[in-house]
Amino acid sequence: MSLSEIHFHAPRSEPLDNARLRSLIDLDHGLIDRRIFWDQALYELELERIFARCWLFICHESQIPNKGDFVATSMGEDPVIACCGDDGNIRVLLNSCPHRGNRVCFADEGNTRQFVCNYHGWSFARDGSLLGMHEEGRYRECVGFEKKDWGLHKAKVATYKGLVFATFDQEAGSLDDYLGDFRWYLDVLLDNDPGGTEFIGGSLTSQIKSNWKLPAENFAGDAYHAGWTHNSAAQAMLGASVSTPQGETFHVNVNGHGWEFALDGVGNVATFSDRTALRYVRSRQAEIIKRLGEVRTKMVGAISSANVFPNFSFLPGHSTFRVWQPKGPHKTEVRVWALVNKNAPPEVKEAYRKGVMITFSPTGVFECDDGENWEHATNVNSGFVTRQRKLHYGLGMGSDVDHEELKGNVSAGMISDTNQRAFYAEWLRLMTQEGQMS
Amino acid sequence: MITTTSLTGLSFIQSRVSEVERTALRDFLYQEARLLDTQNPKAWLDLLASDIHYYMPSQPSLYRRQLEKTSTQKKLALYDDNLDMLQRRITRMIHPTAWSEDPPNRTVRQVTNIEVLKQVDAGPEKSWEVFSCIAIYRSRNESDHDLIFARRKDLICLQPEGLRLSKRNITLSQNTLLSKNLNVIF
Repeated sequence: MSLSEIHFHAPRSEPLDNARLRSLIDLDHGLIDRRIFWDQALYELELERIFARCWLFICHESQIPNKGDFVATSMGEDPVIACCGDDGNIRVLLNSCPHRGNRVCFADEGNTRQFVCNYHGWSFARDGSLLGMHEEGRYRECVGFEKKDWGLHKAKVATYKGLVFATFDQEAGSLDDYLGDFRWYLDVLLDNDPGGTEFIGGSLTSQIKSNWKLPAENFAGDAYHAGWTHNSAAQAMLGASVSTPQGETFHVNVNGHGWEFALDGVGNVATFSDRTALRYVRSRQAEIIKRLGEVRTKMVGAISSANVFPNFSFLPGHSTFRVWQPKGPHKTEVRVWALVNKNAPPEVKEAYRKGVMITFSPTGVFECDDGENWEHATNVNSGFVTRQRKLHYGLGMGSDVDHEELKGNVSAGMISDTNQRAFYAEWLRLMTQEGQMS
Repeated sequence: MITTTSLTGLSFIQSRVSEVERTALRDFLYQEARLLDTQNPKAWLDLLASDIHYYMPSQPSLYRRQLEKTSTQKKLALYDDNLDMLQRRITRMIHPTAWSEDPPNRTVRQVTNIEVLKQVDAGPEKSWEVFSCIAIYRSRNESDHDLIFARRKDLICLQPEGLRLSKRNITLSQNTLLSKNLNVIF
């Protein structure tokens, strides 16, 4: 196919059959069709086939440790509440009253005995079951109405070492299968200390006028942009440009999840300028080697980024965690948290809190330059001709390697599009509902 | 309803701040806004006391019953900066490779509702607690634009070199920041 050809014949109303979907993602040539960042119909299909089916990140257990603690978030565009029940189990409930649909919770977080709809007073227990309503007597006379049938819709919930995930697909396979060997990498952060992890209190939320996939694929594999996009922030925080890491670097991916990294140990945590967190990571290296071995120990504070498909990203070194919530094809809501070891001393937790805020948060010196890129990579596609131009995702083709320790699909070199291609391979698999996870 | 008592109380507080001081403090806030709006953030840094604490907490939506439970836990904030952190932000902002600052943002800061409530006895320096509101309009590229409002509570002190900002506590009026970033000083 000629890249200079403009497909004036491609009608917008072309049905979204699998042949059309496959034409958008050309993995053999490393070409991606820009319409995946623009078209409303594709976006609607993503909500159905990706966000209503995948295991999605909800919260950290440490955010809702006590009975009645809750946080509000969303799965795709579906608003949900995660609540710690009277039995100590976390439920993920659709935040919409089954009577007329109004939201039953308007707070971001809190503690409650029940969720009450403001419209007709339908009230729901911490486990989502319907407790009662205004003028309940009328419903006692209502033929066929049973309270047990009208609780809040529940998602299926599972956790991995403190991280809570949920899926609306009751037939979905287990979270362990979904994460697969990516768990081995997640342990770099979640299991480098026997005390486990927690989120520092609070979160920061902002809105980017970008398609959700641009930030997600960026975290899955885009080490390439760091040295260019973030030069000004590196100058401010390190007094130097982002340097190319010495030694071996990798892209690894499992089931569409991606992690790009160097084995420099502390390259990212060094960007905090304050050296408290850096010293903490260094001081624990011998202990972490005992738990995780040498290779993964070098990943703890390293130059790296990762994404759990579809939209849960983090920077291992900075400990900034975030979800990219889709809000239409051209808008993404970002919520940011900071992860720390529970057993870390208070001054280390404080260093991570301040470090995340000044590097990767809506006011962060690094993040300030990301949103701008993703917004314009999205909105430029309003141009009909622009939208026909395929994008190049061909870096690092054929760089796959066998590695004796690293798990999943391993390729050499962090300046690569390998994980991005794996992200879109999984996207295509889910959108077409054909093929196996890889 | 205005009562004699409240009027008396107000005049008592105001009597401790002279008209000259009040005007100087107002002009200090205006000067900050002008320096920041005219691409002169380094000059703005000169208006900060060496012990500046510049703080903008996040604004979660909480039910009123929950608001009363004040937590002492330190949470993620939009800004929780000392002078070193603010200097680093400005270093980035003026660097030739700060892509999202070039072409520069067009901003207008409107400072209103200035209220000098009392003179704080804080050591040898004369200092004032100053409340104000700020509206920042940020226009970028062809049509990007944000309008962000916040309330501020400042501690401004008189040092040998002049008035200096020593504390700024900023209450943002948004829960979800409806912008891609917040590379603006309030």
